[in-house]
Amino acid sequence: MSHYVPLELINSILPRLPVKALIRFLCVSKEWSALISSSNFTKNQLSHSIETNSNRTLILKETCINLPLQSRFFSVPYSDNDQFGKAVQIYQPLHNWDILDYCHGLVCLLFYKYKEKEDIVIWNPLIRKYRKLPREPIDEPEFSCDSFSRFGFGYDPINDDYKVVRIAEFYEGPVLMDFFEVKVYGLKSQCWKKIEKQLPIKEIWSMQSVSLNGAFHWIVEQDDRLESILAFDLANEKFQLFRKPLNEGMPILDVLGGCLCFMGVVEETYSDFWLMKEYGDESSWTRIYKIEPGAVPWNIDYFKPLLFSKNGKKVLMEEVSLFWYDIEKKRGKMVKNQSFPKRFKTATCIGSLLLLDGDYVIDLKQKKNKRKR
Amino acid sequence: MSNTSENPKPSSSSAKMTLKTSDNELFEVEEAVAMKFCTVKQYFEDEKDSDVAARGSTTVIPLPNVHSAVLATLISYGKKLPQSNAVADNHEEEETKKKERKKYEQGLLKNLMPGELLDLISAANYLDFKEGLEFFNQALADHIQNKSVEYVRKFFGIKNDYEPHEEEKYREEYAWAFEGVDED
Repeated sequence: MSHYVPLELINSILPRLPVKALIRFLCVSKEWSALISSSNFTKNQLSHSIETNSNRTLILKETCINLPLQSRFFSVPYSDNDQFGKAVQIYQPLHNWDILDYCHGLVCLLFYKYKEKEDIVIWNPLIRKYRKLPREPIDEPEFSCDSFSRFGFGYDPINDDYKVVRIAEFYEGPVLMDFFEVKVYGLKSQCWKKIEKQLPIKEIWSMQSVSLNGAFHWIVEQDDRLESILAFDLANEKFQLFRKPLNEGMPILDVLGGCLCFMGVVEETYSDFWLMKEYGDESSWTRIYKIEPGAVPWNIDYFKPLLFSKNGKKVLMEEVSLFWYDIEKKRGKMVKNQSFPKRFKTATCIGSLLLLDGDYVIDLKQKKNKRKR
Repeated sequence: MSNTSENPKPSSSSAKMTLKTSDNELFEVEEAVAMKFCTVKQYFEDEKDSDVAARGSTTVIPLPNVHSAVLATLISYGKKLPQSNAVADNHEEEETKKKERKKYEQGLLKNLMPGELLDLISAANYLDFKEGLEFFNQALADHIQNKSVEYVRKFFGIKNDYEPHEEEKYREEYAWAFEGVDED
């Protein structure tokens, strides 16, 4: 039954495998290990993963108000027919974090407190590898002032690189200064770079940026008190401004279905969702739905949209837990799953081998078992 | 009006082609199906260009790298695919055909030995049969995805060139990837 199979054929079968199998098969032979670890293979496998949504997983970070340092992470497989499997606890690298953003199977975790230095890690939970970013100082101006940073994580398709952006704003007492410091970290170069251009704005409103099409986006206030959307392109490092589709409600940005998503939220009243169907074309802003009282059995507030259902008729949204919002029926229904933690934040992943050369995430349970031996 | 049995007979002239396998068996195949094998299509088009006037059922296309049993399966699979020359179906007919195809595919895979999958992939590759390659590659991936390293080595005829301590290192560091694997 076994006869020699040319590597070319092996190469058209392997990218279809779940990442757990690929990691295991690194040990089949030196040739297979070299193949699977190659950057070409990583690219192929990622393309295939994106196309087929393979290994689709939700990463849940428990949010315990009472015990913030003990929040656990879980992974939940999510099938092609919109069904959720059992949540399994997984170990995050190092210590406690918040989810900043995620892309192509990578989750960027952030630990940040005002006036303190931040810690940032990029993690591939499905292969249990991570990379911790080197600490980068803020180039403070000469006079004493406080700084506050906002972050973003995303993919730069032109350079095929994953990047973290940090924008620092400065305060002299309560007064916001009119300059910012922008630095970008690239996973390929593994170092930070300062962007010399100045932001064409007065103030940033978004807590964190939203990444799409190789650019970071924030809700900002321009000099003339006009609120708009600022886009920063990672490849050509240029800034661009977009008009918001609405002026009512608290403006929030997100990404849904591969489009920039704008929400206008009026607490307890409504949450209005618009998509920029053609990126960069302001006239393509289209309302896709508006959640109003009666549609959901809880207080209307900011609900983060995560993804569309397979048929595009429902949207998975994050409140304290998860719920499906049916666009046609205008009704939200909580996802009931006994294995989910009570309250959590969500990231979505697909199987990828990015960061295969990163550091191992130590499984505390495994460590305990080793010591017992 | 539509023929509810297997495949509606194409209304216009359905030229047939003859394919000859490595074990000298002849297969008469409808042009529409044979054209899904791009290698055959290329051969056919080359023949058309040449001065030899004979076409259709009088041309025998040799496939020295493909055994009859394998070709039979590939032809059978090719017939079940949506035909490019067939009349367009309405949504309902399309859904029914999809379900039929899924059922056929499941039945096909059930009766195949894993080793035969390799032969099918090899032949589909030689014939440049894209849909067949996609299907059988995925079937093989599905078959091995939860198998052990030893099984995979045996299946593909791969010699383990790792030193025991090197292999042990992998198994320890990636212990989680070795959990829950099918028994050999």
